[in-house]
Amino acid sequence: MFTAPSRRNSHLSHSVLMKMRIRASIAIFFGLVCVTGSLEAQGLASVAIPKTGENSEVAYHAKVREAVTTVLQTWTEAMQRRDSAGTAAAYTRNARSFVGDRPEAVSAAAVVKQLFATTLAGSHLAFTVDDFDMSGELAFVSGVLVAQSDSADSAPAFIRSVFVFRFDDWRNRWQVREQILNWNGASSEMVPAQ
Amino acid sequence: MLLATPLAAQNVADLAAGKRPDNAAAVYRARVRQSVTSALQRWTEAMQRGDSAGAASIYTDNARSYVDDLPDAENKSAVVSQLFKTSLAGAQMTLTIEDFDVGGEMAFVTSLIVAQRPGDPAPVRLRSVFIFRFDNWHSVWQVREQFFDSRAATSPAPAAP
Repeated sequence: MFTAPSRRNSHLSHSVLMKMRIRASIAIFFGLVCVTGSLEAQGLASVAIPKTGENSEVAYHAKVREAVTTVLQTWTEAMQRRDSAGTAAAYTRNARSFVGDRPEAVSAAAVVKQLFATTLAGSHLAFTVDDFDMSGELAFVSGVLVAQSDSADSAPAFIRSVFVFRFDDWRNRWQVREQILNWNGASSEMVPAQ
Repeated sequence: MLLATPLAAQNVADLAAGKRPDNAAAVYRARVRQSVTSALQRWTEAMQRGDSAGAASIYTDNARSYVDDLPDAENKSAVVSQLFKTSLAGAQMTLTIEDFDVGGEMAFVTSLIVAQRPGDPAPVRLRSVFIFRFDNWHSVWQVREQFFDSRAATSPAPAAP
């Protein structure tokens, strides 16, 4: 059975309700401020906060693709200049690299040493991206690295390559965690895709 | 045990829940490693049996595969077709995982494959990288990209620093 509250009780309950609403609003406001702040600090905020649904994910995907492409561009330029520090900057400390029949390299320094033992160092390099995908803090890029050495009579080498990237939360950058370059040390033509 | 139950039910969601972030990340990592190892185990068995459907089941529809100088394969059926042209089909394979990492719904495995076909004088050694992607709909990890290089498997790895 429903009974109408008295005027005093109605006023009290309304006042209590208003206080609860204000408290809840304050709590939600501070909660949102804290969450947004920490996410922005990590550089992953566009995925965690779906501002416009799928678009934010697509935008983040494109941003990561641009970031890793820039890393590869910087890497090719550093290789061409024979800049070992610039080349090393592209790699995580625990990076691994497989380049043709060269011994495997299992640190950033070892990767640079491995690469500089090939004719890729000092060559004009261009990388064409064939495939890209990412999730969370991992991304990969596969494509063809075209290397042209300085000697005029040599043909360019086409090297099928895969780079796996990891996001460094601390420094807010993408770095190569793993790479495999199908390099045979000699010029070869790529076989077209099926 | 308290962590294991929601992890089992939610797969990826446990990291977002963040009850014990360090433990949850380690548990998730171990679970993913186990899942991708199982997928690779099924794949080696399917390849050995010559079971193309079984081999295909570990690949995403948009999988890509690069095997030495063979033409690139750019979808699931092309990957299987490519693999069955190699000496891996019908071979007894051992796959040793050398490196693994996971982030979100992506993981990769670097491994050394040693394959011996009946009647072949010597086994084939392949350096391989498998990049996995989690299929939310079917709740399975599948290979999104793979790269096999026989030249990269000819020299032993140096000791890690």
